[in-house]
Amino acid sequence: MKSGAVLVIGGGIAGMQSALDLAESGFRVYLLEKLPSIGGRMSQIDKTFPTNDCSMCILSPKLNEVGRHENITLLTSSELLSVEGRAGRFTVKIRKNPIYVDRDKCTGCGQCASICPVNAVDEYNEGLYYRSSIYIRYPQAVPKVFSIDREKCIGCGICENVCVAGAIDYNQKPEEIELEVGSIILAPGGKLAEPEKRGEYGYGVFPNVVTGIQFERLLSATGPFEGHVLRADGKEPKKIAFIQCVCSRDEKTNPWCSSVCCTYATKHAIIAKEHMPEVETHIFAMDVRTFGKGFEEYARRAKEEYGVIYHKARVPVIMQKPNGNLILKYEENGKSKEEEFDLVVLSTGFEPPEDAEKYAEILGIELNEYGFCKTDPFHPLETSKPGIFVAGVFSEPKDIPESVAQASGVAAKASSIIASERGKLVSKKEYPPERDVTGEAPRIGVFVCHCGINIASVVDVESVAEYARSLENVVYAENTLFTCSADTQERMKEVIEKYNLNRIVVAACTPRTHEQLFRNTLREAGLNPYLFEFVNIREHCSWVHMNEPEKATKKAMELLKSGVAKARLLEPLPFVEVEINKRALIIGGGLAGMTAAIELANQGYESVLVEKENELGGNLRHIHYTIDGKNPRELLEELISKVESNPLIKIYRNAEIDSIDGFVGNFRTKLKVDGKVLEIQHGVVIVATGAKEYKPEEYSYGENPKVITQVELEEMLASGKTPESVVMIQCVGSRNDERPYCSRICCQTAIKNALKIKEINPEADVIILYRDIRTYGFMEKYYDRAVEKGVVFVHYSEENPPRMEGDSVIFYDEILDEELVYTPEKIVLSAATVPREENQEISKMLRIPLTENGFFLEAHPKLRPVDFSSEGIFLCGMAHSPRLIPETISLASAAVSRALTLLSKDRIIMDASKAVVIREKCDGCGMCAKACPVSAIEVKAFENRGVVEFKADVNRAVCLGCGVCHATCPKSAVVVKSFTIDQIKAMVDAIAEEV
Amino acid sequence: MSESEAKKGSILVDEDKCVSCGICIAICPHDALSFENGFPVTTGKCKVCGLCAASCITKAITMKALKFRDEGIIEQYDGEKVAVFACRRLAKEGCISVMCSARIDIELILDAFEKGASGVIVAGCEDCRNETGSREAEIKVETIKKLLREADIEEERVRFVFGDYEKVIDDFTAEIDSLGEIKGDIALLKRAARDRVLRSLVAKMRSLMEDGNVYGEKIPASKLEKLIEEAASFAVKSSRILNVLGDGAEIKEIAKKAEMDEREVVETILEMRRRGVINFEVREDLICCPGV
Repeated sequence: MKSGAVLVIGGGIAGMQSALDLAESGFRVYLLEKLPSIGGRMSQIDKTFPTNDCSMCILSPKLNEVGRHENITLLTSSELLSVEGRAGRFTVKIRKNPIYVDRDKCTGCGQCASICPVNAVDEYNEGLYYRSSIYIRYPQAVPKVFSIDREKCIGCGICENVCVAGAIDYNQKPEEIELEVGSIILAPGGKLAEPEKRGEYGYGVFPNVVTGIQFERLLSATGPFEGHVLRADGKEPKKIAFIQCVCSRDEKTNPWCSSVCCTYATKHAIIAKEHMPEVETHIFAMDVRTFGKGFEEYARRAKEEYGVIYHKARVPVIMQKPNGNLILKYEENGKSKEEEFDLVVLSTGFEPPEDAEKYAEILGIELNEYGFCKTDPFHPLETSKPGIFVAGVFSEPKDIPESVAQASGVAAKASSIIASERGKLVSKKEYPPERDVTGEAPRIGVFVCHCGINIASVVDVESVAEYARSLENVVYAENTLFTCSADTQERMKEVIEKYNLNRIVVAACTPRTHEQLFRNTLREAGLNPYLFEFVNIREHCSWVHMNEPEKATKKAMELLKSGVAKARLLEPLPFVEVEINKRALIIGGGLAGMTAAIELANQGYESVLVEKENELGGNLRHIHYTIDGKNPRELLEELISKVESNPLIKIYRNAEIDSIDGFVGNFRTKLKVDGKVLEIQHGVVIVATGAKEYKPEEYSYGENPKVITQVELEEMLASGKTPESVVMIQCVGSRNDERPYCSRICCQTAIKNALKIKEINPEADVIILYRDIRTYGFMEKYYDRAVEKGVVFVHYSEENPPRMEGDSVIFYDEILDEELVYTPEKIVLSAATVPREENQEISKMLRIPLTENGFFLEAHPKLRPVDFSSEGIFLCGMAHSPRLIPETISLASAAVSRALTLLSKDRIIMDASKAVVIREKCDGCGMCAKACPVSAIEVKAFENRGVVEFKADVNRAVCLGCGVCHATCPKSAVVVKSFTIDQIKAMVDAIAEEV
Repeated sequence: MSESEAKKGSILVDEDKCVSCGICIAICPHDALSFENGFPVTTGKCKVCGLCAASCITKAITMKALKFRDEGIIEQYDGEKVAVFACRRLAKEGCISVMCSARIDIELILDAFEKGASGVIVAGCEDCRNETGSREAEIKVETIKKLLREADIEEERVRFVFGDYEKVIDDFTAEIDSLGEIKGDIALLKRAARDRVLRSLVAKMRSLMEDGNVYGEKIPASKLEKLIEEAASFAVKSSRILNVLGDGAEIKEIAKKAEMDEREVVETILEMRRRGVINFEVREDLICCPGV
């Protein structure tokens, strides 16, 4: 008997994403976290690259979603004890460590922490600050429960007395629990290296040398100085140095590349400039490795718009002056230099998580040579033990989007072995029957939130609640410390019943993060969720009027009055449900598309795989060997034989998409196959169109037969011909004005081919002319190996690229400070990876956006890497961005996981705020249909008492509720429910009136 | 009696100041206090020893009878070079007589210094009628020593004596004579003596060492000594900063006026802000201002 539950180890962003995907596709999830709250490393980050999005603001809704999900059980402050059994059915023992606080009673008010007499170093703020020994890791933490740090607590008993909720429980004991799970996901993250290991940088000795993560806390509004970057002596720095590769690419500590530090240092330098426009920021790096999607453009902006200065140098030592300033000595372009800074940030890299060896022992999985989880390049999500999967930094240093993609990917892997158990252990939330409020006069309840101090420190919230009581139809109003807390939800339900309320207004924060929560509470209280109105007195008021508390209070009253005015006119709205067709359309039959098809089939879902060529395989056909010695031909054959033999996969070769209509769950696609058109119906779309090698216009490619591309060199090597001497030129067609992005894969391709040449003929001359060598992660070792084998690496700058004269390459050597001329047998161009032309067409058909570079643009670059904003459409492979085989496989599995959250359901509920046509008013002029951006409106013939009339008709499943139709209709015959003209007018009128 | 003070048996409780920490209830040697609507109240068991008032972390508790209050007690001080606080069982002429040495608040000792004493003796009974009363007083004297050290004042200026203090008074007076007058900022220490964390630790020290904590463990004296030292150090630094803060000042300015290292100032104000004692804002440099 298999189990329909999955254990996810690690409550960071990766673990959370795995948990959500699994819980949404029919599996029960136990999410194990050793700390008292989930959120992981991402919760400490201030902004995220390359969009500079506020990290907590995008994380917080996910935290709540995980915290509230009926199929996710949080096991915080817990540790893994033992695992027995095998894939499909493991028996897991877990110890829940005591936190000495009753999780059900704690309201997170913080009274205990404010009185606790014992301080501890605040780990969340990386030692820049203190916390009390009863504490919550950060203000937005989930679960919002304080816990006692038993190491620090002296047991004085004061917190028990001050806790109004009676939540302190000093008698809590460790509790051992046993769980049955079908598969296990490891996402424990990584540890940041301790810079003390590089004593020459003076970390821990010089007060103005900090780590990257400390700098992150300095930048953060919840950091020690509320987001002001200050030195330990309170002075604002004027000149900051960022030192890269601290304990990365370093034979003394960690030889691998940590992959994220170059981009995070770039971010730090940019945000520092935004905080302090006058500050000078310098980044010292051997190579700038901004290889991810949009990262190169980000670094370019740092240089050009923000004036960030990059030095190609490794800093060997830092010295301190008596005033606390720091002297950096380094070599650049062969010259010794010395420069003074007043703050130094050490960009420390990732190490394996602290518990890596413990997990290896308990789970019986293998670690690699560096102590990270061992994976196979062709099976990047699998550990050495069946049924146990890995995502995020534990398998290799990586950034948030790659971790999130892997997290979705492992969710698909973990559920595929227990697909037969889908839906067996999950509970569906039951709601009480909805109360009919038609005909009732509005009875409005108002909740005015303190939001801790976020609102209450500026707005006089008591007066606002008092004012609310004076408004017509308001029968109840109260203040709450955190309206979103679990206990307030219970209270809200009680109040709704006690006062027979039929409308609820919450004056607090933003609907973006919290509307679903309150709507859900209304449903639980038997009210239609659309009888709820949100008034934002935080983002729209307290945060922006911090220095004018009186005016802010008045504005909060006005906003509330306006919200109440709308609430009077709210109507219950019916749910819109659509059925889900359980078939997927996969566009592209390369590595990504085939992987997706197989993963879907493993889960029992049908797919239609569409390939425009007459052979499957895409770019994989041109890869003959990999840098790590794997055989990609075998992978290709295996995939083709799997997709061809699986009855759930229907393959169309020589096929192209003619048109795609419909909406999530109900797409209709016309395919042109061998000149014939056929229609297929499907519920989701996976876009896996891939990318291709650029045909260079540079270096007389195409004219001079000595000039070839890396793909051509690989074909040549595979056919047994090995040149005696080659010069490789990197970044041909990439990182320039026309194609500003980094093509990511070419550095490793060049080194792979260079090593192959050296393997066949150790005497061959190989020179690689490069701008930055970007062998990120564990690939760094192949760079080291290439140097060892005698491959010559010569740096060139963007301003002074190599050039050709006849068959010779002329390049400038910075160290020798002279131009060199070399005439090799072959000149190999590391040509860019460019998007497919057909992306344009598919983008239009599916109404999904492309980036400026012609790759597809995902819904969110950090947290939704394989989703599109349009529901039911997913992205994977090189159509997303250039990437390697393991990364492509991860992304394909991720797209499947996201698709499964829909395919596993019979029907989905959509937002009910939709356009509705008032037939009597409609003239059938069709203006609304033309204006609708998603073609949700059609003018149709209706028969009315024997007369045929033309009227607009809305497809509610397609309608986004945007209101363009509403604004266009000259007769107001089409309205968007919950945003009607009457409602908006009532709001405006209320605001215009004096309070 | 201020507006927010309410009679609770033999004590008055300032309901605005009381944080319901329960220290008074736990520390009472006669089990004479209990919570009523979240505020302490005494019962008939009260022996008016005043340990609760002397240990209250926010000084919300005062004794109902004026003569038992801080201001009533210190009134007895007659300007002698050595001030003696003694339990009434040990009291001799010229000393400041209290119901029990337990009544000695750390602030009271500083009051004596402020009023001109160069040395202070606190005398309590070995067979204290209020059980732990004299032990608690001894801990408070030890705390004063720590505070004095923080202000570079000789800790020998204060001594706790069990039993008859007259046997040591001559030696002590001679010692005080050799030390001369106090050079140091007593007002600063008085401010520090109100620090809530310091007062919590001092009030809890004896029971944590001798009776055990909520987990049933006895905390070693050395660990508590260290915590109290840190708290005293912070309390003094924090008072130094508050003394020079005015309406707001830059770190540089504060450091100069308070004669502190800039880094020390920054470290201290971070903790002060966490405790809500001050606020700060950043313009060109960090500027601190009095807080909520």
